[in-house]
Amino acid sequence: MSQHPELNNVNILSPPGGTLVWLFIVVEFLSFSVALTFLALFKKNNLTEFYQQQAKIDLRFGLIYTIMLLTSGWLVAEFVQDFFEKKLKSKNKLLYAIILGLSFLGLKIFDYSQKISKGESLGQSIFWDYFWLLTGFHFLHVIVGIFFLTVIYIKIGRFQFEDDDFAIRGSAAFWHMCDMIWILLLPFFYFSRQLV
Amino acid sequence: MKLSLTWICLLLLTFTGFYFNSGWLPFLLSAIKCFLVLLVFMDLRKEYWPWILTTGIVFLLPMFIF
Repeated sequence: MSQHPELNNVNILSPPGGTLVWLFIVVEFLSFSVALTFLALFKKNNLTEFYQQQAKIDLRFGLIYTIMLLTSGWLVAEFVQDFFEKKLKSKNKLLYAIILGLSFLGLKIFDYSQKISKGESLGQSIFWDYFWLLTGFHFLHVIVGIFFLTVIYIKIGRFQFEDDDFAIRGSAAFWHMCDMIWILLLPFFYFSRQLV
Repeated sequence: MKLSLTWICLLLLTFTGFYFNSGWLPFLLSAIKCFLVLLVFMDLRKEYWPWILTTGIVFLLPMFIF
C-alpha cells in the first residue's frame, strides 16, 4: 500500500508528480550518468593522477553534505505525506528542509572558495574539471530545488494550487532528484578511495 | 514512521560508506540509498516498474565502469 491512499488507482504513465517531472528526472540522470561514465573511463586510464587529486578532497565535507541533503529530503517526504493527509501544521518541516538546503549551499560556497585558494579550480587538471562541472551543475539544481520549495512554502495555505499532485509531489520529486544525484556523485569524488 | 526509519537507514548507510571508503562498497551503498529514496521518499511503488528500471539503469551504468 502507498503512504498516499489517494494514489491507489495506479496509472503507470502517471507516477507521483506527473509524467513530465519523471521524464525530466530521467533526462537529468542520463546527463549525469554520461558525464560520470567519461569520468570512470578517465580514471581507468589515469589511475595515479586520479587518486592523487582525489586525496585532496576532504571526506568530512562529503559526509556533512550528504547528511544535510538526506535530512532535507526526509523532511520534504514527511511534508508531502502530511499535506495529503491535510495536516497543514507540517509546513514547518518544509521550512527546515529549505534551511538545510540553504546551509548546503553556504557550506559548498565555503568549500569552493577554499579549493580556489589552493589552486584546485577549473582548468588545473581533468579531474578538477570533472569535479567542478559535476558538483557545480548539482549546485545549480539545488538552487532551483530551493526555489520550488520556497514557492510552495509561500503559497501553501494562502492560495489553492491548480494541481496539488504536480505542485507538491512534482517539487518534492525535483528535490529528491537533487538528493539522488548527490548520492551518485558521492562515491565517485569522496567515498571511493584507493585501496591501501 | 516508515519515512523516519528510512532516513535513519540512509544515514547509517552513509556513515558506513564514510568509514569503509575504498573499493566497490561505497558504490553498493549508494545504489541501495538511491533505491530507498526512489521507493520510499518518492513513493514509487512496484507498479511503476518502468520508471524504477529506467532510472536504475541510467543511474547505475557509470558505477559498473568505475
